[in-house]
Amino acid sequence: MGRNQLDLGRFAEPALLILISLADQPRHGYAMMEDIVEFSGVKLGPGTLYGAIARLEERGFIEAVDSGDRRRPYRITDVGRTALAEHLDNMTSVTTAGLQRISQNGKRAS
Amino acid sequence: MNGSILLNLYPRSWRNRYEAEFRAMLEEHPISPMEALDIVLGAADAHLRPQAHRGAAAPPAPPDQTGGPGADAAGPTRGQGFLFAHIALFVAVISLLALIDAYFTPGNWWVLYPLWAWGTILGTHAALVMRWKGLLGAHVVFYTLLNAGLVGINIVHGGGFWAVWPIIGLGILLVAHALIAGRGVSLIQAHGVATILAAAALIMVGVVTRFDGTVGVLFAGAELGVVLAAHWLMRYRSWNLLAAHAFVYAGVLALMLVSNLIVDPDDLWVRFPFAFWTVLLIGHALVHFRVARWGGADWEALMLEQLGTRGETDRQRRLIGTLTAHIYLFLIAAAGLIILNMMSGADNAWAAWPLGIWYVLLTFHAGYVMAPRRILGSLLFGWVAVSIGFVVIDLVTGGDAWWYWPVMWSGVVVATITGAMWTRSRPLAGAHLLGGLALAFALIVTDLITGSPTWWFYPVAAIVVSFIAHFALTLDLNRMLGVSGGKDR
Repeated sequence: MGRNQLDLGRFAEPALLILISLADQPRHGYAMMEDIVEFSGVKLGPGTLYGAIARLEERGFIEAVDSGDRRRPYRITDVGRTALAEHLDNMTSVTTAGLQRISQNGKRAS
Repeated sequence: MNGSILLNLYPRSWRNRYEAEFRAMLEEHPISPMEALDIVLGAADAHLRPQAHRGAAAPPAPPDQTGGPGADAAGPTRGQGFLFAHIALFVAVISLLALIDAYFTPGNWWVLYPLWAWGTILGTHAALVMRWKGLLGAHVVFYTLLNAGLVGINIVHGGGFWAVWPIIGLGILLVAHALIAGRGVSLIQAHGVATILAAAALIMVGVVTRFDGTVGVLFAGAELGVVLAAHWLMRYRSWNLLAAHAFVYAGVLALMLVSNLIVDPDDLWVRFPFAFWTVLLIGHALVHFRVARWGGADWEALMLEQLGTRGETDRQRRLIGTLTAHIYLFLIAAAGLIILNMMSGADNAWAAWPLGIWYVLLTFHAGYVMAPRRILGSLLFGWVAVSIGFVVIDLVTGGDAWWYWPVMWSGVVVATITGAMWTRSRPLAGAHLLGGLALAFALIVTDLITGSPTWWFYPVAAIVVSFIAHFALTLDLNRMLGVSGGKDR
């Protein structure tokens, strides 16, 4: 279910990275870009970042925070947190299955 | 590099919502050329999918935006966005055609025809988008611009004041529309008024032109009456569409046969409409009895809905209904204009111009409604129609064969847009590949046509190199080499 909720076409991966970035604290656009580079090595372009932000806001996964600053921060909503958790659960299952198969294949080969 | 200027590429509604924070972000670090490209693509995305940012919640207004616009501020709608794109395309294409005209056929200002015809469509589009008196406003604009052009053509070419006929003929339709829009009469009452006016106009045509043709003109008025009767039968006697169609078929063809036998017994021309219409009626019957399928299982119900209750279900049904009505209107107007053209005694087929442009508009409309990807379908359908139009204009005007220039180079643009839209996940790569291939093809053809020393190899080689470079840029070398961090740096 989580995978469907984050099915945002070419913005799916940026959206996932943004949700992860906001999972621990609210961040504004530039802070998100920096944080995402730090934890994933991926640098999102400004257009991609805001394309994904708009979609996440549209779905209610994130919301703007009143900060009194032009650099408006965003925070993850409860809906967004649930969607992220489900998506990561799915990814974990897929990753585990993949690693197990690689491991089994490696043992057979050796 | 300062990317703030690129913000102007975004729609106003997007800027109202995100511009301040986006600008603040850009001020924090200079952007690279690739990031500038990313902003441009983001702007294209915001135009193509405005619901993403329109659906976003209204942000709390930052302190330095005293009274500044929020998400609810009135930005351009999607329709306005298309209108602006239409205007830009109109200006660009007409400018290009004017240059082609001035260069290849100086003194023959054929560019005025597409200028007028497309301008008529553009004016109608603008009236629709701006919601000036709804559909009636668009109809008024269309009527005015179309007839202004026809009067201009009439004055330039001479040959009697034939332009009065479309003014009268199309004016009758406009009157009927105005009666319905004013809610003064029902659809069938307006149909009755239009039929009476049309019959009166036809009699007038017979009187004003050659009295010998009055018999045929009177029969044409009677045929309109048959159509009105079929409308009445459907509405008040619950006839189905096939029965009404068969009624019109029998009634109109019988009248045509009698008219033919009276006016011109030596030439039984009625066999042509008889054969054509019979095929249409058989097709309708096959659909009616579900032997063949066309337009969905409930096509007939939708048609009746359009003609009768105008009930609305989902969007696609409404779109198909509107398209069907558009096709009918086009066919009726085409028949009317062709008849007027023939009766006016003009030595040129002036009706081809408004009909040709309307046909192009109709294909854009059909592509939008019928294709799975609406904008792309509209673009491709329209491009094919416009290309056919160029070929026909070239053949008819008998000038040097120039049609392939606008067709080919507009094809490069269409291919690029198609590539971007087809590959949703990677629009840049799609645009580059398809646009690049089309460009290479156009360059080779241009080289061959112009017959100059062969030079196509150099730009085509550059295109191939750009493909390779693009492919290389998409490789994630860091991951391939096992290096972590700074993927795009």
